[in-house]
Amino acid sequence: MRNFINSFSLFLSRIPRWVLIVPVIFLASSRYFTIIDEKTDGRFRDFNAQPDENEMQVFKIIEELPENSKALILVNYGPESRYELETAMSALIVALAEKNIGIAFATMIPNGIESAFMAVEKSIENGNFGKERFVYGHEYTHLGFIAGGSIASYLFANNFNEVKERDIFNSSTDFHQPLVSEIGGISDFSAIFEFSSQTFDGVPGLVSFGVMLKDRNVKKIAFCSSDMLSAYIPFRGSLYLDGLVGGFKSIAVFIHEFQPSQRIEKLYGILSMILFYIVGLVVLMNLIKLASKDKK
Amino acid sequence: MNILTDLGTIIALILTIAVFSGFFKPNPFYRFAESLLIGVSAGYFAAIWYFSIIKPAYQSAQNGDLLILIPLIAGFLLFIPSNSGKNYSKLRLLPAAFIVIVTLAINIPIYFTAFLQEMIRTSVIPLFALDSNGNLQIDTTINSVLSIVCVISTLMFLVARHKNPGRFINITGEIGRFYVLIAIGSAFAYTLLSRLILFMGKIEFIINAAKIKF
Repeated sequence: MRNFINSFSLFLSRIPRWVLIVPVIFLASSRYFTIIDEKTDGRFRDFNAQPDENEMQVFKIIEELPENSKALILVNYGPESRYELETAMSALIVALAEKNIGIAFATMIPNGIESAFMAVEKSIENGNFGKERFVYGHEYTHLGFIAGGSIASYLFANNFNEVKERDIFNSSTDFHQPLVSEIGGISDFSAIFEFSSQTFDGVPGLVSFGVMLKDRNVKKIAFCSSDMLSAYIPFRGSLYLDGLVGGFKSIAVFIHEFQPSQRIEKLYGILSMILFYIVGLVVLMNLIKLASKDKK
Repeated sequence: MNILTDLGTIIALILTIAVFSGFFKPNPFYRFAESLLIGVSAGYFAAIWYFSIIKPAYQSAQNGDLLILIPLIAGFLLFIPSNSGKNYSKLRLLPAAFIVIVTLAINIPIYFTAFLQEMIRTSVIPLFALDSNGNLQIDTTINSVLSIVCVISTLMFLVARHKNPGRFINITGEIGRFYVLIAIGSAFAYTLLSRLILFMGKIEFIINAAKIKF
């Protein structure tokens, strides 16, 4: 038995890393092909994740937003979190557009500029977009990149008029954009959403925003990628964060609720399988390691 | 057929595969894609900073708002090399000091309010959770007990354990260490999860692009 464990450990230590990665690629691609057809009765077709209390709270806030109001979306993610957050943002845009809520985008990171336009494009291309027109300047606008991290939060919260002077194309918003001209200050927004894959000086963007914002009627909801979840969770339920959709499970539940046509089941199923594979691999490797250590 | 879009997709597909080829072992294609990414990122960021900060400031100055020149010049002062040996090289400390002071002035209240005050507030929770009928909610109660044990034991581990290591403090500190390890482990697992989703997204992109183009 000892000889077997010894030789097996030696065998494992000699395996190059790409051999461990290839099965992951294989599983991801094979699952993709097996459930790509909508008529295929794949194993992961049913979406079995249920929303928890916190996610229900976010659904409730979004559903209760007054029609024809305005919402600010801070797009603080770049291409590295696109696959995690873009579909959720697209689902949110559709939900807000259905209620005729005007959307102002802004970003506090340079590589978040394109993310907003890509999400808008995705929302419109989706086919379930309820509105006939979604025109820049009327239904949505982009206030551009506001530099400075927490200093930018300060500007947003205390001197929004300066932020909204010009849009991303450097056009004066007062003359060319009816949407922005209706906004006097930050309190005119019914809600502020943040899609984030990074913190600013160690503090989540919306939290520093919330600390500086005196108006407690403006709802603050954060959507964060999985790697940012540990930074955001401590503030869940605090005065500075009314709702948090963080990590892939919560995002999948959100998309399933607001834009079922995005078929998040596929990605969720593949991810579950890969995670299961990785956990199995880690447990196996550690068992082998433990067994070899005992022998010594 | 849009030639530009198609060309872009094909280039993206080739570059994605070139990056993935690094899993096997570093090779010239991987190194080319890596260098290209770094170069393009640097160019992109330079363009963003120019069009977001420098150009609007210059235009404002042209329109008569000369005050905007002060932060613009202060920004340029930061580029004075520190090892030039000239007396004027110390001028770079002025904008640097201003940045530090403003950042501290904004961040200290945020840290105090968000981290200290709010963390204490959210840590004070009822030990036994009851529903509207007065029945004990077992899951919430277990969660509360675990949270309180976590807060106390982690504080013991980080603060008190090194001062007077009595038996009680030692045991509580060990429990705290366990909680700290769980926190670090979960943070690592979340990061792994995030990268996995990115990886899967790229795989999906490769499959879709290959299906459409070839």
